[in-house]
Formats: sequence, C-alpha cells, structure tokens
Amino acid sequence: MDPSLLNAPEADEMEPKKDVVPVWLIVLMVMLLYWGAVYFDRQGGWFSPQVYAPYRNLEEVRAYQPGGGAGDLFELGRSVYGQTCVACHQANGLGVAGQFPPLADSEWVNEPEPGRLIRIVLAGLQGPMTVKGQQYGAATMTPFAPILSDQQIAAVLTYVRQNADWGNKAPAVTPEQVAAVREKIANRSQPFTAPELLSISPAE
Amino acid sequence: MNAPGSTKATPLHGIASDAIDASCRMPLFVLFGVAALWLAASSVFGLIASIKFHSPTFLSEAGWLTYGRVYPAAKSMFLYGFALPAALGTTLWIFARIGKVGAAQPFFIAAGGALWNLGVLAGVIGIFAGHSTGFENMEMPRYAAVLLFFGFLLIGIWTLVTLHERRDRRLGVTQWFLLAALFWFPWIYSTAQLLLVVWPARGTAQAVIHWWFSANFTVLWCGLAGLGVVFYFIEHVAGRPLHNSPLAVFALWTSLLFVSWTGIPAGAPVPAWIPTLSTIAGVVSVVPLIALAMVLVPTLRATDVPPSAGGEITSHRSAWCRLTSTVPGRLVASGLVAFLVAWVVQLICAIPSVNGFVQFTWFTYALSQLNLYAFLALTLFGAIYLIAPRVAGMDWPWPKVVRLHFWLAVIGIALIVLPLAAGGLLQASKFASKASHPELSFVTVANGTLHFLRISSIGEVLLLLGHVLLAGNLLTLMARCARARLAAAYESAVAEVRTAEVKP
Repeated sequence: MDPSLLNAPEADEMEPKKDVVPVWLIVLMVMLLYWGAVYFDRQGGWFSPQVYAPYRNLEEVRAYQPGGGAGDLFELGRSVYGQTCVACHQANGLGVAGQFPPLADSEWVNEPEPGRLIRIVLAGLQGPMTVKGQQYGAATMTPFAPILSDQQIAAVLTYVRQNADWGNKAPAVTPEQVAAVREKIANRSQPFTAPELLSISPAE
Repeated sequence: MNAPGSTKATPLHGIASDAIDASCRMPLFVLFGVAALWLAASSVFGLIASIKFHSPTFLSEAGWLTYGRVYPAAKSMFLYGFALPAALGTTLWIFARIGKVGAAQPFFIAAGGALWNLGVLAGVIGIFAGHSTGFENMEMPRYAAVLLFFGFLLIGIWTLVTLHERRDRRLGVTQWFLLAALFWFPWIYSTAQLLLVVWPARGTAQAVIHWWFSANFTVLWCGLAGLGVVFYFIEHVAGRPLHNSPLAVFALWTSLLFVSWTGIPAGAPVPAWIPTLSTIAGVVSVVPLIALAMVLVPTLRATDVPPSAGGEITSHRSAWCRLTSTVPGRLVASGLVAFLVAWVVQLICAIPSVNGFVQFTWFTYALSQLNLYAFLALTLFGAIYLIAPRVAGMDWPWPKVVRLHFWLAVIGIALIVLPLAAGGLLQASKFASKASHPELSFVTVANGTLHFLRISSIGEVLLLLGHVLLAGNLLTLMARCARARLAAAYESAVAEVRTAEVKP
C-alpha cells in the first residue's frame, strides 16, 4: 500500500463514527422474532408433514379426521353399514319382518365370540333361521368376502355389535379375527345355513 | 499526485473517468443495446397477452401465439432479456466508476453478454415452441439455462474482478447492494433450475421451491439491484452522502435474512409450517423497511452538505430536488417511490387474512408489476439514460425523447397498476361475498374486471411506445458513436500516411 495513504487519512474519516443502528430497531426485531416463535408454536404444527392449513397442529387434525384404533373402527363401520347393509337391515337395525332379520338386540349379534357373524358376512347365509323367536329365510344374505376388506368387515361388525342405540353391547371385532376366519373358509363357495352355523363353535 | 491533506475531490491514483467509461463501452453496448431490443419485443408480446384478456379471439389461430406461450415469453424477455443484462451492465459501470478503475477484460464481458443473449433467444424460441418448463418466472427450457449460466459466469467473474481491482479501496453501500444482487441471482436460479428441472423434487417440495425462487427473484434480487442503483444516484449523482451508512448495510443483511423466506402464500396446500414461517418472515421484513426509510428519508430531505464532509454549502436545495432535477434522476426517484409503496403493500399482504382476501385476483399481478416495472424497470431506465451517453462519449441523439419516455413510462405503468389493483380489490370483495351472493359465479366476477383490463392495455401501448423510443435513441447513439470512432481511426491512419509521405 502506498505509504502516503497511511499518512493522509481523509478529514471525515478522523471523526468518530456517529452513525449506528438504533437500539430500538434491534429491540423491535427481537420482539417480532419472539412473536414469530409464539405464532409458529400456535400455527406451525411443529414441522409435521401431516398438518395442513386450516389445521394448526396434529391434535386438531386427529380430532377432525378418522384415523386408526377401535374407536375409529366404529366410525368406519358406520359408513360401511350406510353403504352396504342399510338397504336390507335398515338404518334402525330392525330389518324387515319375514325377510331380513333384525340386528338390534339380536342373540346372533350379541354372542361374545364373533366367529359365526364373520362367517355370515364373508360367505353369506341362506335358508330358514330363527332370530328373537321369529322365522326368517325368504331372502339370502350376500357373501361379502370378495367385496369388503378385513378392516371393513371388522369395522361394520364392531359398529353393529357395539351400537348402544340398538341395545347391542358385545365386544369389538378386529381385522385379525376376520382374516383368520377368511383363511379357514377360503375354499367355500356356498353360503352357510343356520344349522351348519350352529354346529360351529363361535370362537373358531 | 496524492499530496497529504488533499481534499477528497482528487481521486486516489484515479484514472480519468472518461477512460473508465471507454473501457466499459464494448460490454455496455452489448448489454444495453440488446436489452433495449428485448424490452421492445417484450412489450409487443405483453400487449398481445393483455389484449387477449378482453378479446380472446385476437391472434388465437396459431399455437405459438396463444396466451400460455405469449405471456411467459413476454415476461422472460423482460426479466432475462432486459432487467438482468441492464442491471449487470449498470453494476459493471458503477463498480468501475466508484472503484476508479477500468473494466477488467471488457472483451470477455462482452462475449458473456453475447452468450447470455443467445441463451435468451434460445429460451424464448423454446417457449414459443412449447418447451416451457412450466414454472413461472423461469419458463426458459434447460438448454437455454446452460447458455445463460455460462454467459452470467463470464460477466459476473470479470465484474467481480473489476470490483476487486478497485483503486479506491472503500466499499460503499451502493457496492454492497449490487454485489449482493450479483451473487443472489446465480444462487437462486441455479438452485431452482437443478431442483425443478434437472433433478425435479417430488410432491409439494416443487411448489415450495418455485415460490421461493419467484420471491427471491422478483422481490429480493430486484430490490437489491434497484436499491443499488438508487444509492448510486443519491451518493454520486445528487452528490449527497447517505445519512446513516451502517443502517443501510443493516437493512441489506436483514433483507437477505428475512425477505428470502417470504413468498409462500398463507393458505398454500403444503404442510402448514412452511407458509407459517413465510408469514413470520414477511412480518419481520418490516425491520429492513424501517431501516431503509430511516436512511432514505433524512438523506433525501437534507438541504445542506454536512460540515463533516468538508464541503462548502453551495446549495440549499434538498437532495430530493437535486435527484429529480434530471430526467434519469427523476426515473430513479419514481422507482424509489414505487419500491417503498410496493414493500408496504407486500407487508400488509403478509397477514394471512389479507393474503387470503387478495389471492387469485388481479391485485397480486398489479403488485408484481409495481415491483418489477414501476420500481426496477424505471430505475434501470434511469441508469441507462445516465450511463449510455457517458460511455458513448456523446449526448443522446434526441434528448427531448428521453423526457417523453419518462412520461410514457410513468403514465403507462400507472394505467396498468392502479386499474388492476382496483379491479383486483373489487374481484376479491366479490369472491369474499360469495356466501351471501350465490348468484356471483366465477365468470361473472371475472367479467367485472374487463374494463380495468381494457385500461391496462392502453397502459401497455404507452409502455411499448416508450420502449421503441428508448431502443431508437440508444441504437442511434451507439451507431453514431461507432461511426465517429471509425472516422477518427480513419483520420489518424490517413494522417500517419500523410506524415510518412511528407517526411522523405
């Protein structure tokens, strides 16, 4: 560097620097960043890839949307029932006299073990049967094995068996139970009959 | 030559400013000259796109003239054909002038400019041929991006070397802003190009990267480059030192830190944390805005040269009056006003409810035009009108046309921004009242903006006229300069021959 440069500072450079960034601006910035942290905590969903606007956190998303678990199996079952079963068994679960047996307060539905029920849904049912002391058998139950998944069958049976409005109070059905029965009757092409079902233990 | 105690008027080891200007002549003629042509072409296609909104059958028989190609082509010509080369040329000249050093390797910079323009040509033809990447503001296809990259590399490297070789070692605010812009563009464009076109990211990440690029390009890069020019005009053309330089540098760093996170709309269909961060960054951007206002307002209001600068009180006019006393300065001052307005509106639009109100309307387009044209383009016009005659060494062929262009540009852009902003707000309020007025279909609401669109087409015509005047003035200036230099070279060659003949 040219030595004359060192010896000859500019006049204005000798003055102490008065220009600074005002402190209140820094304080304002820090306050805004603090507000930003609070806002992010409330709105940002903490980097969850499942939280989208207008939801603000994972709890809200879970509260508004059906997810996994037995409680939600009941809700899924409600929609499966509404699409698949309601035409015959009716929305109130009372069925139609002589044709479609009732599900509400039925001894078949409220068996502690669901083996027979799962078989009815998977392979169907035909022929005469007695429910709550009344004779049915004019109609045939459709086999749903090719139509509904294990999850959907477990859901709809859980919905039917735990429907307090219908007076039902039986344990839930799991997709694993449905899968086990489906494997056992995989080769069956004919619907069940009532005597045949009664000969099978409900626990199997 | 540099006696101790000399006043600052004497350049430190400086070379004469006309020698600096001469060293920039070739690169700036390439960068500015072709940029003016791209600008005129851009406004022709921009006008066609604008007319299509109220007359859909206009020029609709050929595929390459449909809106989906004409509009991106016009925007690419404006951004990549005009704004970037003009900003690069201005940066080079300002670095050379402030650093009191000639441009390093003018030939390579000019070659880089040629390569860049070849890239823009390939890109625009690609868009018309239907090869667009489909991402707004970076529609030019991959093969064009390669040419742009190498063109930018050549220009950028030798511009940096020019800065590095500066004889006046001080680095001012002007240089800080322009240097940031010089680095910011290649970083965002190459990142977006790699992550969206070369190895495309999957799913929502694509949209996020694209929003990030758009905001960083049209808001941040544009702000850095434009403000660099504004500061040059204040410090070196109006001759006023900045009121508070450290605060301006603070504004630079905080904008780089916060504005670069903005741009993702509040209701965007991506995981909520991304728009939330963007909203926060948008609100915190008030800090650099306040800092800039605290630098610019006192600087422009100051009437006397501060005694600490050692200057005599020569004038009682404010810096604002000095700035607006010439047409280039008036262009830059108008750009500065547009910049401040645009930033305030952007801040308000960062609030999620406001963002949801104006989204999908003409208001957002008006805001982007305010930023890109009323701020950046006017500022760059000011720079071109200041620099080109100095580089050419002669005055504009038609100096009065410069003033005419100023009015065409200001009135033209006002006729685009104001009606579209008003129409957009009307549109937004109709969208918002849809719950109580179910008869308002989307088409009804869209048709309500037709009058505003027709006015904006008039604005586009005025801009086009202005661009034709600029291109005509600039190209004539360049031609006259080239002819004068050829004549001088011929004269001196002839004189040499004559003296050689006389001697024996």
